[in-house]
Amino acid sequence: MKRNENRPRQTAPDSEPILVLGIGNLVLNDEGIGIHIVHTLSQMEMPRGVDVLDGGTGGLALLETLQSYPRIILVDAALDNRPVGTIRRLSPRYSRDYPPLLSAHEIGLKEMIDAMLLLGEAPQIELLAVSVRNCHSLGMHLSPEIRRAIPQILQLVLEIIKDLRHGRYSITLG
Amino acid sequence: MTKRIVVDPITRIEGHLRIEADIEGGVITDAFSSGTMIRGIEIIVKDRDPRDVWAYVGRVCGVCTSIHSLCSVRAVENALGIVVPPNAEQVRNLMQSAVTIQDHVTHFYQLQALDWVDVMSALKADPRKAAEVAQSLSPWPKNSIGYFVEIQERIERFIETSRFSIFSNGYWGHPAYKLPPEVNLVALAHYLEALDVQKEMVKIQTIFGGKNPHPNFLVGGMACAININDPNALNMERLNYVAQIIERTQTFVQQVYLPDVLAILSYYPEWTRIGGGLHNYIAYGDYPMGHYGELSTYKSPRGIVVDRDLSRVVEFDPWAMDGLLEFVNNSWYSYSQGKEVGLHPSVGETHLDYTGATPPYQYLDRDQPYSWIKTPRYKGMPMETGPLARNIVAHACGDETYRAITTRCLDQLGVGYEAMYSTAGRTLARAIEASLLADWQTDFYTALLQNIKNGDYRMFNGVKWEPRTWPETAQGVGLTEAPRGSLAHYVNIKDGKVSNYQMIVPTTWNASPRDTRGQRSAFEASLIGTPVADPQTPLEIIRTIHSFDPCMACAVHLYDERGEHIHRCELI
Repeated sequence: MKRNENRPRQTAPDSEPILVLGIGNLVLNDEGIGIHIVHTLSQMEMPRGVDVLDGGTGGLALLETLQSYPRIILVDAALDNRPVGTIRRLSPRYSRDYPPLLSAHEIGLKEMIDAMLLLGEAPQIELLAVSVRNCHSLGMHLSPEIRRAIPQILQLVLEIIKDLRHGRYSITLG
Repeated sequence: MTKRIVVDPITRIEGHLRIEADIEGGVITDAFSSGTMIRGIEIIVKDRDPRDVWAYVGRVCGVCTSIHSLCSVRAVENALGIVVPPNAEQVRNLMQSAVTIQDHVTHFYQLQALDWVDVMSALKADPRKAAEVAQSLSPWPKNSIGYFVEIQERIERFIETSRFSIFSNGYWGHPAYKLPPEVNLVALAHYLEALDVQKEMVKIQTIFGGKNPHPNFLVGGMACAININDPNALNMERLNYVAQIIERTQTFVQQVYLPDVLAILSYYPEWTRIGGGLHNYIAYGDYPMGHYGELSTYKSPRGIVVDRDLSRVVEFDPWAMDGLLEFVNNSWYSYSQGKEVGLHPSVGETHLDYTGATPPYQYLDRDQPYSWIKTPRYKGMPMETGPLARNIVAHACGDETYRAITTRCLDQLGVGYEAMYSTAGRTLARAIEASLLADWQTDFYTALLQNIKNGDYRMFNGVKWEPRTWPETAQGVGLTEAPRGSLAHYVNIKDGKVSNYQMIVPTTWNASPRDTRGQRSAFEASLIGTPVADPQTPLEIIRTIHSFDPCMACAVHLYDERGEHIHRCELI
């Protein structure tokens, strides 16, 4: 299926799948927030047609998954100098629209967005960027600020799902 | 007059790396390689259940994730004396070869090719001539004029709509780009094909490992049940699908990837004489057709070549306490016995001790430790590791399979084996290896199927699963050949928990700082003597560093601020 790059944003009918994708590194404390969120979501009852995936540290291995969903809700940690725990909802289109995400990989999310545009298909992505601090510590613990943000992130994911089903977009927070 | 260049970070690699080079008379006279992120997975897995460690180490990186997991289960199995069933061994071979071929293909097209292929030039190519070039290279079916017209249009549209993209920080128009526009276009078309075909290649990971990235491993075997007739197990339909993937992989690697590498390198003959660097090569060997302990059954042999002497293979002994040592004299770590000693990984330590300047800094202080990477040595010798090292060791071992394909490729380029000791050689060795692995996948698959047909469905050896069956203390080593080279995990187990864990990753060998004797490691050594036409656009440095396929994500981890691209060049 080829989708037009400049297609208008449309609502997702109930039958159309939505993916909630968490990206991050679980062993780098706050960097793993996206993974913690999808782990929590996968234990909750999700609306019909909504899949939840732990994307790990991502990379090209995720390309096919990204291409197979027309709409994706992405949760990732951002290094954007905002207060820790700030949540922003963005609707990035090109790789340049993304905030500095924490990825150890040169083939990161932005490169995959470009790759998909090059191949002619890119999903609509609603991004929840969670600001983290550039901590040098290693471990699997979330900071208090990030832990406090979790209920709101979960709430926002559910709201975005509703928005995608009913056609409301891009409320920028934070 | 000496010019000092800083390239930080080197782009189009995995992770973050800084190179400083001194240039005199247009040639590099000295070089420093600094890993600017730290990794501390060793600290994280301490005190955990050794049966779970594969899941944590697999999170180091999404690129060769399963290789770390494989190395980890091998280390624990080695410590506990577990032999895995033949089916599990072949499933591991299939997964490892799949991820390695995918890594080689994407490294070449997505990360490395743009050092040699000029995107802007490709837009000016005559599609008719490009079709002729493509038809002369191989029987790959996508080679019509219409196909190349469409590719050109697609790239043009992408560049117009998506400013600041993957194509925005190339040195387009640099005089060191030598390919005719038509060859640039063919390569660029295959850049797009590679994006598509790599998705298929890694499905082998998902089929056997349940998911990707970060597929499932299991100490004692593999976590997939084989039953030819059970729809929920690894049944005949799934296995047939694996056979199809193998065939597609072979077609792409042998009709596109290897021919492209040969075609591109034929325009850059000088690069078969640049970038050789070290004269010592190490390979732990891998891809057992028997069980992991049977070295003689390895498809890719183990050994060390010293001083490029192909008549002699030096033995690699992972337990020689004076053999494999890691030094921290130039790294931001401390050892309890001081900075000058080297430690065997079985008694290794990971204490972070950053003593460098506070970023942002202009230059590294070269008299002080300058990297987050430790410096490994074997009996005091620096070693290069990776596909080229595997090729050289296999040659020294007299391996006919490696020799035949390597000779065929070198004949086509009109050069001898000495051309392998170079930036071009490293690039060619990777493509040759992908071709070999694609063929071996058929062997792994056939062995797996034969074993199943003989009625052996075992995938897991659970005799030592329960911790009560373990000794109070145990030590093990896991060795693998990862896409980027030799990988070792050492584990110490005490009272059922990990008491120490050390990983020596391929890029540690290649990217590390100088040792206590001042000997350079592979990156630094390979840059000496490299000509740099324009210090403002040091494409030549990038070509050689990329030829190693550096993966800093697992050599070192986290620390980068915003990934800004700093380019500096000053007279000193």
